[in-house]
Amino acid sequence: MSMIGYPLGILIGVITGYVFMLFFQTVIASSKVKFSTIMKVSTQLLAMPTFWFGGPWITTKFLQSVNFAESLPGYLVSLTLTFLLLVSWPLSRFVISVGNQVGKAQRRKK
Amino acid sequence: MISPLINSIVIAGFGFFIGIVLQIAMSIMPERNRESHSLKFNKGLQGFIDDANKSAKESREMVQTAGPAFWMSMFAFYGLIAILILIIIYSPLVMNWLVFLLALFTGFGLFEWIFTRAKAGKMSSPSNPSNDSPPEASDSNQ
Repeated sequence: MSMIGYPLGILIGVITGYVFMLFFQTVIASSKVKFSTIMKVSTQLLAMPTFWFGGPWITTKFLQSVNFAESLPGYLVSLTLTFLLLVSWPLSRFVISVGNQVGKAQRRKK
Repeated sequence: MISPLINSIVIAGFGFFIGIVLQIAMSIMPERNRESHSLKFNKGLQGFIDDANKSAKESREMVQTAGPAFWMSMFAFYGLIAILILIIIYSPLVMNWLVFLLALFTGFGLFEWIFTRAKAGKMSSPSNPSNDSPPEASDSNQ
């Protein structure tokens, strides 16, 4: 099993995790987002697996000497864990802030 | 060929993430933020049917007037399911329903627990919450 899969998965996980959070914040931060913008962002999100499993990086000269099939298990695990770790923290902060706002509004009503 | 352990880790990761996104979509859904409309049988069957129709109509109106954050999270939810289907078809991963559903419920349950605690005021965002504050979460409470 090739060891290059692990750092590669971490790198791609960091890049796509950061991009996901940028898309997320673009839509969440503004209340005046149009439906077409949401569709565009969703399409871009759907393009992520193409980048994960066959982005331009896979055909570069550097990786042509690497057997991708051999490094796939390490790549998949490190990609999944890095992406989840990166995305979970801002998402949990978002859920906490939504909960705080909903709780405050409900207490104000009572 | 990918080992079953690695296959399970990746499927669990996807399930966990889909559970989180589903919980976020539900927590910013306007319907969720108002008083719960409980259906009771004490008014008879006709009363129950009327209540159910009223509740369904209100829910439909709420969803129709939902903000972009709700639609974004719903798109993200369906998008993630589409991504998972594509990955299962085009990668060497094999679907493990047990692991997937367990991870999905874990992700959903964990974030639901966080949401409930935050709603009760027992948890607050460690940094400036205004950076992440969803505009229509407060709008929908009015």
